Amino acid sequence: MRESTVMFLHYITAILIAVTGLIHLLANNEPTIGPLIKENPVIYLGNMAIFLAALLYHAFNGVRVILIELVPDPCWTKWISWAVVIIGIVTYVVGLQVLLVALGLV
Amino acid sequence: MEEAREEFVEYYAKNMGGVLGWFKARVYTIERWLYGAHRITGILIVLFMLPHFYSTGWHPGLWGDFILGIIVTFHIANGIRLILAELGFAVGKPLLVKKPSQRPVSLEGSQRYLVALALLLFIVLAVIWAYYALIVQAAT
Ligand code: HEM
Repeated sequence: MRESTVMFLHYITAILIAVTGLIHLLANNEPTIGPLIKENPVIYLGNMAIFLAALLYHAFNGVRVILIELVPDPCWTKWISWAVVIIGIVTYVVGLQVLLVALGLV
Repeated sequence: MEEAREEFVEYYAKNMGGVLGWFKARVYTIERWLYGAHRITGILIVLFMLPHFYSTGWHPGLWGDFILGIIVTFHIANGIRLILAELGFAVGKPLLVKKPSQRPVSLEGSQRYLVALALLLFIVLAVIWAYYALIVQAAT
């Protein structure tokens, strides 16, 4: 993927985090709205699935950007990027699994 | 000319500043400090995320929640400014910078207001977060 595309997605995920993260905070902390979100598994789970994906992309790409800036070497850049992609996907799968177990759906 | 440019790029591509370079603000514009703060807050949020994922009930505690709020709301407010600036909003026309003391045009004009708005948004969001973290949470 072109680096400009990667960064464009970095901004898209940032906005997604702002929206889904707010819903996540409301669900867990707002005394009146919270229970309404939590009692609907589709909204709660759908929100968490998007939130987790956006968060992991943004966080891991952020770390990747910092690392490849500190080690500006084409060979290292390639390996860092692949490592981040693989760790990110594994974390997402594990995260979804934890979520489904916590909700008693698996 | 082309050769000089390549040498310049090669020199900076070595990034000899390292981590300390993030805070070596040679030109002390506020944007330069915001950059360092944005990077640090980004890393701190990732560090918060790890134990929060490992044990989803984990919380940094009452004042920990408050400090996390400052970190997150700063990253959000400044992040929105960065997205707007990087998409080309409120950026002045480019101009050849002739002296090191000369501020780039892209940091003048409407870009100044964007910084002010971002800092204002930061304060508003931080106050709302602090209200929930310190008052609503403590009451429940
Ligand atoms: C609504 C929330 C957020 C917004 C609007 C936002 C926005 C941004 C923007 C615009 C950048 C700048 C990238 C660049 O141009 O170099 C960035 C970097 C970064 N963000 Fe976020 N972000 C948000 C939430 C988060 C969260 C929740 C995390 C951590 C899990 C995070 C971690 C990072 C990291 C590590 C960087 C890299 C810092 C750097 O390159 O200097 N961000 N963010």
